[in-house]
Amino acid sequence: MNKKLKNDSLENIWQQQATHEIDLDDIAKLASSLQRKQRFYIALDILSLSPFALLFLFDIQLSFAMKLFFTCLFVSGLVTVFYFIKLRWLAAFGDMANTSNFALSLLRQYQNNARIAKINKHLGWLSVVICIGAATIFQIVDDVEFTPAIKKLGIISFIMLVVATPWCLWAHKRQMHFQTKAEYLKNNLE
Amino acid sequence: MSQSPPLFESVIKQYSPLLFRVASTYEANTSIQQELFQEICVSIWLALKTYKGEASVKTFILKVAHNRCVTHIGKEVGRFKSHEAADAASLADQSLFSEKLSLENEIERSQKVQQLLNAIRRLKLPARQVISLSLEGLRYEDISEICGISVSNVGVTIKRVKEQLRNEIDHE
Repeated sequence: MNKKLKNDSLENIWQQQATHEIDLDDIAKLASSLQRKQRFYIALDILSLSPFALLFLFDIQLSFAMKLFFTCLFVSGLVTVFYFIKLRWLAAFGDMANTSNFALSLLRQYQNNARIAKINKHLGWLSVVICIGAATIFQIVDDVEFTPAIKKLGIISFIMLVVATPWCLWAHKRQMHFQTKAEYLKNNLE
Repeated sequence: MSQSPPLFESVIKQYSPLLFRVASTYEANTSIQQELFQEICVSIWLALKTYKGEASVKTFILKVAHNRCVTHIGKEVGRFKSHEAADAASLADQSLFSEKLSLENEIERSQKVQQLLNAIRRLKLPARQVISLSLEGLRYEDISEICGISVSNVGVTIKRVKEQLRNEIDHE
């Protein structure tokens, strides 16, 4: 090997990399559109809670069970919206943390997303079981005729399965996706 | 269209080679390298809107660039990493552009650059970040601030990794 090259410092070799130019206008356009999208998504996240405002604005008469149900739904919706806004904020401004903290928070984010997907997956099949169970109990309690009751249960089960199966598959795929990402990042960090 | 941050144009003009080198530290495929470079610039555009001058611009943008690249690492999952093909193409590109030096010298130089890049890409993330910042001539204090590790840790990492890189390059 050429003597001069052999004596090259790592810094010299590093600086000899070929680099490319970039179009500043393109970047400005891309960044503006990204910023607009982020603001739009945050607005949508917040607006998704607006149906609950109707309950407070109009004096809608509800049973205690329904009030409890809507309160639980509102609280879980609020938590989800805060989580989404936090993720969007991290995506937009998290880059300014030091690299160790950033990598760790990204890893935690992947792990949390995998956990959420896992919960969603189990909620999917569990809701089918609960609904079919509840429908069966109502049929027994109401003491209805056997054949129409079976027919009703069949329809309910079919609808629930049609809705829940893709949901569970999607959630499972998402869980695997984030688990693999987390594992890959973890291996790169350790 | 919203207005670009005041520093953006001068920052990119001054530091685009450095930012491109950050992208190449994480990505071997030349076309994806370009995309990553673009993503880094977009992140800097957004981040500069909140820049208040607490750190030097160079330190600030390097932090943003490396963090963007860490996010990019997650995207590598499931993608076929054609390092060898990409390296060969990149080598061919690089060996064609210069007429100033002899062809032999130029090819040797390109090979060395490629060997160094390959060796750096094989490092774990924290070591990769520290060494690439060091090769850009940053002070230990600045590297410590960007990476969130102690100055002494920076020194130890640089010494260990440089030795490892020299060995790898000499043996290849």
